[in-house]
Amino acid sequence: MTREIRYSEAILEATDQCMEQDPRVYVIGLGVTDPKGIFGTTLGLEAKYGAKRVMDMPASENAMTGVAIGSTLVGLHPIITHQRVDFALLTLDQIINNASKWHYMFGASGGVPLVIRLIIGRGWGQGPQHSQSIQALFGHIPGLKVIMPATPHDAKGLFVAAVEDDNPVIFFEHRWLHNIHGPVPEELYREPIGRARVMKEGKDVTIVATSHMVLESTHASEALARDGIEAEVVDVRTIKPLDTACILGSVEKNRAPDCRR
Amino acid sequence: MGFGAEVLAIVAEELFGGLKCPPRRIAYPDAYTPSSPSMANSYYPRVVDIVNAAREMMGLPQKSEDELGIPRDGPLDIPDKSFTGPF
Repeated sequence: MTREIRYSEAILEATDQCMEQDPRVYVIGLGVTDPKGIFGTTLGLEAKYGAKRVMDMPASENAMTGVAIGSTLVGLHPIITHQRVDFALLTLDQIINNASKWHYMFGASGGVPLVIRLIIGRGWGQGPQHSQSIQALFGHIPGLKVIMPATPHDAKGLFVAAVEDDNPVIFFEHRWLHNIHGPVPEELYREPIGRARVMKEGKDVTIVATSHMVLESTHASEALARDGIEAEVVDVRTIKPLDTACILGSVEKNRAPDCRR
Repeated sequence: MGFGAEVLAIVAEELFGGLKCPPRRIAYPDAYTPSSPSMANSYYPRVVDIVNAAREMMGLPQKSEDELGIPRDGPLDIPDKSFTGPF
């Protein structure tokens, strides 16, 4: 029986193990040293690794993303965190005009191994500037990988894959996933970026979903099953690059997709 | 113009002739994300919306949450009953 931990703990453990195995990895972001530790995902890291590898930053998101990109060019592997995706809009210049294109434009100097954690999702009182879901916007940019894990297991495995990737990866986490529990191996492991997963098999209708809506779709499939309808739920996991083979395979079987965002 | 549009585009390009019915998207409305619980309840798609989209595609009548046996947990912007204040 695999141990069960929270989604937020899976991200923390992945970060911790990545920092332990690779001294080039560091964490930066507004609030990463805060007592709340970005919904618990950075708790204890500063005490363990010191202020040089876990650091708060000024509210100069674009400039600090530029600093993080610059640090990759001298061999470091930053993980930059924004407590809301909305705050990262200030950094689109650095992400789109520099990080995403570096490998293509200056191939000899390598890529930009940068992980950007963006938190999405609704919450009481958050409102129009703190709860947008604009993952599709990032999916439009060549050179960016965009992942949206829905389970604690995938959160850890895809996070490790993101940190070890040679190019920028955008890691979307829905705030309502942070507290869900699930089996997570204790050792370091990777889940492949660019692969969807059939969460639940069914022969009548295909539901394609991302992030928190994967859980909602699983609940929907249970409600449908009570009326004898077998829904297949596909967890996209990575919206860029998209695993079209998995999606088309499921639709081909059922011939009618019901597509979540 | 969300991610679902891309999925449906790929499905239409690759499997158009074989679909049994038009595919469906379920996403946030093209409107601002709300602050108040009363607005949240009519903004965010929920389990019953997914179920009814599938039922409609299969030519079945719509059902309510009660008929489907889906528990209602209160406002859609509060994650659980232990929540007592703003994030």
